[in-house]
Amino acid sequence: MAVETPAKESLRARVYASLLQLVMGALSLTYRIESFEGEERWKRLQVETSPAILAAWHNRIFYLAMLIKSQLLNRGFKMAIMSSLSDDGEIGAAMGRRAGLRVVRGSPTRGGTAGFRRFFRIMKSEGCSVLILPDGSKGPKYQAKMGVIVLAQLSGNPVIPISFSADRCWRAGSWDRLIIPKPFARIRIALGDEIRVDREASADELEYCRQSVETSLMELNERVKPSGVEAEK
Amino acid sequence: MSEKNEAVLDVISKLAKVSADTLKPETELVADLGIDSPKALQLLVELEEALDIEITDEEAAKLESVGDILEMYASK
Repeated sequence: MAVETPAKESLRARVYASLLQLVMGALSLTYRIESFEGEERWKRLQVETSPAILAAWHNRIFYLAMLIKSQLLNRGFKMAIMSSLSDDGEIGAAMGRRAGLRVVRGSPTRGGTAGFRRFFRIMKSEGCSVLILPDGSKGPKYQAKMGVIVLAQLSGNPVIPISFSADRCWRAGSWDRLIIPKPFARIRIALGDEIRVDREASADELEYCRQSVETSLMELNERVKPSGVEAEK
Repeated sequence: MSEKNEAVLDVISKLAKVSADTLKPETELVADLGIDSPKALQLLVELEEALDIEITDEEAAKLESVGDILEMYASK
């Protein structure tokens, strides 16, 4: 089942989301963007009439959510994100709503089809872009699932891969090793080329597109990584 | 076969890449046609577009076989 706006957030979700929002707000004031490859295309997202499907690895969500909020949502851009049906997902959903995102609850394993249907409807009827984490909600890390490709196929909207790195960061002990830039971190961001999926694509072509998303995101990881740091696997 | 049923089977057969003649009411979407979650999304969208209907999330959750889809459409 895809739930967009629950009648009531749990106390746990409200407390965690509020605390995290404070922490993220404070941290974001200290970050500096060192480079932004594809920044012009990023800025054009705000003014283009057709929505986009931003795709990022799950462990990039912490900083990217802040970037999206400060540079897109605060300027009237509409974006939706899917948050899993778990208790942790409820916190993510609460945070997403506070950031100004539309939140659709679901995951590839639970309520996923309904969630992606809601994404499709939101894109089609409201021109709302979506942020998809192709290896979410529980991995395997850096393996893109097919949902992002099917959404691109059905909507006709392109997938735009995005990644970032920070010269100083914490890595959480989660399955995805969530990246949390440390205070005063220098951030490097890169947007990949658009990936479009033909409505009549065959199964092989869909798989090719899925691999293209995966490859693009890994290449972006490599392009933005600080010098002297080994490539992630 | 009614035109309505033909339209439904046409959508399913194209997606599953099988002949419409092979589809029976008891044909299961996952077990027999291999319609996984991404394809299920595509199926629902294409049914809605081809048949000009809206399938609610509750209705979608109950669709496990070709027969379920035919019954659902007949009720619209």
